[in-house]
Amino acid sequence: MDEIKRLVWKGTLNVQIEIDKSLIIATDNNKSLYVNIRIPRETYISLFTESILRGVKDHLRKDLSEIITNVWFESDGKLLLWNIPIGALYDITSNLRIESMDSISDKDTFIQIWKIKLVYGKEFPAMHIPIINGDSQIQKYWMHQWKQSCFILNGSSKRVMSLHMNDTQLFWNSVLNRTPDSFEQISSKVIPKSPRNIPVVLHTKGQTDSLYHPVVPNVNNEGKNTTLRRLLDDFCDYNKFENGTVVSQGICLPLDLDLHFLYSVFFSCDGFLHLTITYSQDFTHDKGC
Amino acid sequence: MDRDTVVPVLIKKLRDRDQIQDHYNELFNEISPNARDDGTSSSSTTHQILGALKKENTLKDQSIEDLQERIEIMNKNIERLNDELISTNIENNILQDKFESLNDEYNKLVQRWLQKVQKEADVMNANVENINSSK
Amino acid sequence: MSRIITSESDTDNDTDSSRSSTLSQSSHSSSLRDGNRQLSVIDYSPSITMERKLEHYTRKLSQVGLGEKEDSSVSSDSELISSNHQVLLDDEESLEKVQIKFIPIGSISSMVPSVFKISQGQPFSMILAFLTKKLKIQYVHCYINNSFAPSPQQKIGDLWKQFKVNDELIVSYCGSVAFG
Repeated sequence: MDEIKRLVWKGTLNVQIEIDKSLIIATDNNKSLYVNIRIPRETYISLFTESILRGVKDHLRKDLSEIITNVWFESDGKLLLWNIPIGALYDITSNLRIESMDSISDKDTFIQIWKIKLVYGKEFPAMHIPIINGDSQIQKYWMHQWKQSCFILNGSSKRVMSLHMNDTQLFWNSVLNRTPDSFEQISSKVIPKSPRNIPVVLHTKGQTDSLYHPVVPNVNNEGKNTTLRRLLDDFCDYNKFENGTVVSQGICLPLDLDLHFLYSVFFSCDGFLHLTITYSQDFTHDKGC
Repeated sequence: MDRDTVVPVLIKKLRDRDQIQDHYNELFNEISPNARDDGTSSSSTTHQILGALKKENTLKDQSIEDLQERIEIMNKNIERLNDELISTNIENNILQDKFESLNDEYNKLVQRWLQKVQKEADVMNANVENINSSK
Repeated sequence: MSRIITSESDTDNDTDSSRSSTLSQSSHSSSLRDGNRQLSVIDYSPSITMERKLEHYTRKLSQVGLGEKEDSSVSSDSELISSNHQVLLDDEESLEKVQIKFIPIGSISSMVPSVFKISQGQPFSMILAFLTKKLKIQYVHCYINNSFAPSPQQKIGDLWKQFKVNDELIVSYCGSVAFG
């Protein structure tokens, strides 16, 4: 189990970010400007905005402070909600997924890249939460997400609210500075051994703006633990789902999994388990489930 | 599904995932979240000039925006004036029609009055002639 | 498109106050025809813009005392709400309404009545927009069960199902940060 948690925590993405042309000083050849970075899956993308822009600051038309509040990220023209962990965003938007290296014929030239765009604008897209207070705003938002997931797990937010100030800060720093030990230590204070309900967010493949927060009891009326299949049965018309797949943390999940177990190893940095559902008709690349 | 069997499956899948992501990942720099200024804000002249030019650029962008706004307002004014002109024209036409009809009516009245006066004059003349002839 | 907030009552239909007419009543109908003839000369290509122009001219005419009285505009209240309404609604269920109870924290004025019915499919941001408008304030902080502030994108129905107390979702609101 610890090994799974370690792998989940360590997961990274190769991201190529195209900087909005309106932000760059125009040159003769009018080339696009890209930033290639490796980002951990379990963070918020907006925590990196400043670093990304700082890396290209000599190319920017304006001073960083003037644009930082008016940028957001898009993938194929669709807004990426910064308040969803990056890994989940990737699972929602990326189209081609390969299950293992063995299925790749041309290993020498193969490279997995997520291409997204950093967009600048005066008017925000409808679903975007503007970031006006920088990282501290993200931290507050994240804290409230934990309170919410704590409420779902325990029936109240007490466990988060009674965390010591130092612990709260340490908790956040563990996300910022990628320190798994303190993250594990504090999250275990919040997550009980046998939770009432499981905090789950359901996403639909290809739709960055549709998220559902279903009520998932750990143990149902019949005294059985909820499985992933059961959740999907309740959530959608099963006929429609039959050949679909569920992805979390970049891998395709077996449907017989016990959700409490899945949560305990796969929960994201915000205390929720993010699942992406792919319906069969959209997608044929997934194998090996 | 049994937990003991599922754990190795998940681990294998996650490892495969990482293997794919790690392929050529040396091309992608690791990045720390919103690192503070790394001290490379050198005071070299190029950087100073760059800073100054950026400020100037911002000002120019601002003034372009202001001018565009003004153009928009001007355009709106023109449109309004145009509308005003057309509606005034319509009003003028209506008044013109009304004026013409009134003028016609006036002329008719004058004609009738003249006819009436003529008739009266004729009657009076006839009377005078009758008196004269009876004398 | 139906309105979401049911406890609203005001639909103000101010009709335009009568304008002084410059022409006498007797010439009214004939001169209106004149005006329309004038317009049909301009209206050589029927298009939306022309239609709008036409509308504009009839309004102008009515100001001169000729055309019919223009209709009063729809109340701005329902406009605001229905414009927010077009966010991802497809099935019937998302139109079903749930009860929300508003509780003020601190010195902020309270909502009358305190319980509202709102469509399930609406995002939580709708509640924020609704409160700021009702209370005529710039910012509002909302908390569910005096505990946490949900993401503005989350569906009200999902929140209700998860956190309802006696079939009501309890939303406390405050002008400043209450539960850091």
